[in-house]
Amino acid sequence: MTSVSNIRQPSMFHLTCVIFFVSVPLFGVSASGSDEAVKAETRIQPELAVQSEIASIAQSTNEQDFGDRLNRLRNLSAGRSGQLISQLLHYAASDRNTKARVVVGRVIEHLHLPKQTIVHSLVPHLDNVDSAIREMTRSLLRDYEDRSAVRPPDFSAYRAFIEAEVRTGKEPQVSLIEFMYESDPGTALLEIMRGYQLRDPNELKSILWTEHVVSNMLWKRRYGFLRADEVDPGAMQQLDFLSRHERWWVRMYVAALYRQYPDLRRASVVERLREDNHALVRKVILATEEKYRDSYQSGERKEVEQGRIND
Amino acid sequence: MRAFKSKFSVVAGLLALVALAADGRAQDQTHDELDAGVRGAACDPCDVNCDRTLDGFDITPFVETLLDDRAGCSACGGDFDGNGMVDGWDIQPFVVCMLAQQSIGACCEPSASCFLTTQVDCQGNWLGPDSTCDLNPCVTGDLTAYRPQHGDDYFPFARTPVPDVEEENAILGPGIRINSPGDSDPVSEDDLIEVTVEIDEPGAAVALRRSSASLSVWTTRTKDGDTEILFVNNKSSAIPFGVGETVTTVWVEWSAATHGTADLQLEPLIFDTPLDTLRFHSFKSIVMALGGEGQVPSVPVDPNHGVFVVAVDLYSQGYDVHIHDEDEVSSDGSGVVFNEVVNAVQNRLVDEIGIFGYSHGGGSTYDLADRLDANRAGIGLFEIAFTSYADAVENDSDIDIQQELRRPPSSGYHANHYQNGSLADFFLDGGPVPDSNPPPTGLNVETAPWGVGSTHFEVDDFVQVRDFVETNLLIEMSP
Repeated sequence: MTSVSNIRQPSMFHLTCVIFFVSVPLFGVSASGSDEAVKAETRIQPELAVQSEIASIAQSTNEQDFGDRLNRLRNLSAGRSGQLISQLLHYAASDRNTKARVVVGRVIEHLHLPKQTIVHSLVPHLDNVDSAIREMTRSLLRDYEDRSAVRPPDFSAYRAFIEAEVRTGKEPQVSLIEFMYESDPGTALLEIMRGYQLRDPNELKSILWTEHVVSNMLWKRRYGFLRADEVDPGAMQQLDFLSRHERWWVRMYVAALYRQYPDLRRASVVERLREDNHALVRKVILATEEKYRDSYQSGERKEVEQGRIND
Repeated sequence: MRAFKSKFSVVAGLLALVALAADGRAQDQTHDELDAGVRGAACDPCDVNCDRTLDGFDITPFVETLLDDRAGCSACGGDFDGNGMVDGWDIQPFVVCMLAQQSIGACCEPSASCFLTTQVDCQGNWLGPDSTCDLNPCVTGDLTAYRPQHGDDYFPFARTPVPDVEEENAILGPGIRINSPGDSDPVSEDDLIEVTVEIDEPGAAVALRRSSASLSVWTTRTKDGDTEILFVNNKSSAIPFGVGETVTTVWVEWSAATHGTADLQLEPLIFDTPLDTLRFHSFKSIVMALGGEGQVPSVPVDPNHGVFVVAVDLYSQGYDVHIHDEDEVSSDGSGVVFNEVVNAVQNRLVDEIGIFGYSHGGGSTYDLADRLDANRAGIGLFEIAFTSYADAVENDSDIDIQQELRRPPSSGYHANHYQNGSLADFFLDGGPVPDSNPPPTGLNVETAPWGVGSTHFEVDDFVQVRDFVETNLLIEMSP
C-alpha cells in the first residue's frame, strides 16, 4: 500500500495505519493493513504413476481385477490421501466423460476416507489456476454438504477448516467464504462466525439476532406468511446495521443476501458496500448492481428466488 | 278472407314475369336436367319448376299455376304465403324473388379470383347483392401456429408447427402460456405463440377475428411499443404484409389471468367468412425433462438421449415441455428449474407438474419434487401428477454414485426403470423404488427380453422404456 496516491494523501495513509493497528487485535489474523487476504492460487502437478493407475481402473477386465486395481492405487498413495484426492480431482476435471467420473466416485468410495480429510484436501483447489478443476472442486464439495430441501446445508467441515486457519493466525481462504455464502448466506454467516472464534457474547448475540430476524422473514416468504414481495422493516434495519459491521465477512453476508434476494436492496446500503474495503464485498455488490440495476424495492418485486427476473 | 289486389296490379305483375322469363331462358342451361327426384327435396316456393335453380324457367310454371289453378311439381311451389294455393297474394313475393336473382355481386371462383355477376351465374361463392371485388374479398389464406418458445427462440426444440388437422383441437392444438402481469421470463419474453399468416396473392386484405379478448396479437415477439394489433368488436384491422409479400408473422399472447380456450380466425378484411381457424388453449400443466450427466440438449435431438427424445415427442403433441441440464437442479432442489415451476404455478395458474429424468437427472427429479412438496404452502395449489426415473442416481455432485431409491415426494404416479450395475458401467445403477410402476417397484429392464445384459448407459434409450414413460404421462396429464 505504498502507492503514490497514499504518499500524496498523508491523511489517508494515516487512516490506513490506524485501521491496520486496530484490526490486528480484532481479527487476530490480519497480515496486512486492509481486510483483503492475498489469494493463494493452487496447482495440481499430475503424478504420472497415479494418473495412469486411475486410468487403468477403467480398463478392468473383471470384478476381481477391478478390486485389485483399486487396492493398488490405494497402496501407491498410502499415507498421502490428501495428494490422492488432488490427483483424483485432476483426473475427474481432465476427462468430462461420465465413465471417468464414475471411476473417481468409486475410488473415493473405496478409500473410506473421513469427510474432513476429503474436504480439507479439496478446499484449497477453490483457488486452482485451472477453471475446470475449480468447477470440479465446487461440485465435489457439494457432495459433503448433505444438502436437502428441508434442512440447511452442513458446513461443519468448512467451519473446522476456517477455525484451523484462524488458530494458526492465517486469514481464512476467501474463496471458501465466498463459496459458502453463494449457497446459503444465513448458514454461512453462523458457521463462519464460529470458525472465526469470536468470544464476546454481545458481538455473538448481535450477529445471531440479525441472522434470526432475516431468516425468519425469508421463512415467512417461503411458506406464504408474507407475500413474495413483502419485507419486514425490522429485518431491513438489521441488514443496514450489519452493512456497517467492522468484520468484512459480516458485511459480506449483506452483499450475499442482496445477490440472492435483490428486492431487499436499499440504495444507501448498496452505496456503502460499493465502497467497502474488502474486494469480495465490492465484487459481489457490484455484480448484483450490474444485473439488477434500477430495480430497488419499490413495491414491484424483481426477483423471487435465485436469479429470476420479472417481465 | 283477404281481398284481391286490383286487376291492374295483377296484369303488371304478369307482364314483368314474362319479361323475366325471356331473360331467364337465355341464362339457364340446366333446365333439361330437371330431376323428378326433387319432389322429395326441401321445399322452396320460388323454385316453381322444381329444378333446384331459381331462374326464368320458374316464371311460366308460376303463371300457369296461378291462372289454371293446377297443382305444381311440389307442395309449396309458388305458394309464398303458405295458404295452400297459388293466388294473387303470391305474385309480389315471387317478383321480388325473381328480381333478387338478377342482382349483381362479387363472385369468388375456386381459383380465388373475383368478378361481378349474378348469383345465378356465380359458379363459386357469391358474396351477396351489391358486394364488390375491391380489396379482393376472394382471398384464401392459412394460419399456422407453432409450439411454444423457450427463451430467445425455440431451443432446445426445433421450431415445430401445429399440424393442420390439430389446429382446432382444444387439447392437441396450439397451447399457450398465460402471460399475465407478474409472469417471469428469465431470458426474454417467450410466452407468445408464433403464428404465420399466409395469403395466396400479394395485396389481398385480410384480418383476424378473435373469439375472446383473452387473445392479444402483436407484430413483434417482444411486444414492442405500438406493435399490438388492435381489435374492434373482436375483428382486427388489415394485417400488415410487406410489399409483394404473401406471408407475415404475428405473435399471439394469452393476456388474461384465467384459463380458457379461444379461437383466432383469418377472414377477408371486408367479409366475415373464416378462411382458417386456430383454437388456442391455455396450458394447465408443465413438464420438466432432466438429462443425465454429460447429456447436452441439441437440435436435432440425439437419439441416444432417451429423456430428450421423449421430451421432444411430448412437445410436438402439445405439452409445455422444458428440457434442462440436471445440474440446473441443485441438490436441495433449488435453481432455475424450481423457479420455472414456481412461476408457472403462481403466475400461469399451472396446477399439474410432470418431472422425469435419467441417471443424475433421476436424482434431480427427486430433489426437485422434494423442494416443491416441502414449499407447497408458499407456492400455491398444484399436484405432481407424474414422475419417472430411468436408472436414477442421486445427484449431490458430478461423481455421486449412490442409487436413487427414494420415491419423489407426493408424486401421483411414479414410473421406474433400472438395471443392475456391472463392471461395464462401474456398478452404476438405479434400483427398486417403493410404490412405482410397473408395480410394485418399477422394472428391472434386465428381466425383460429386450433388456438382458443392458448397462446404465442404455436404460434411457430402450424404446420400451421411452414408450412406457410417454404413454403413461399422456394418461396422467393433460397439456
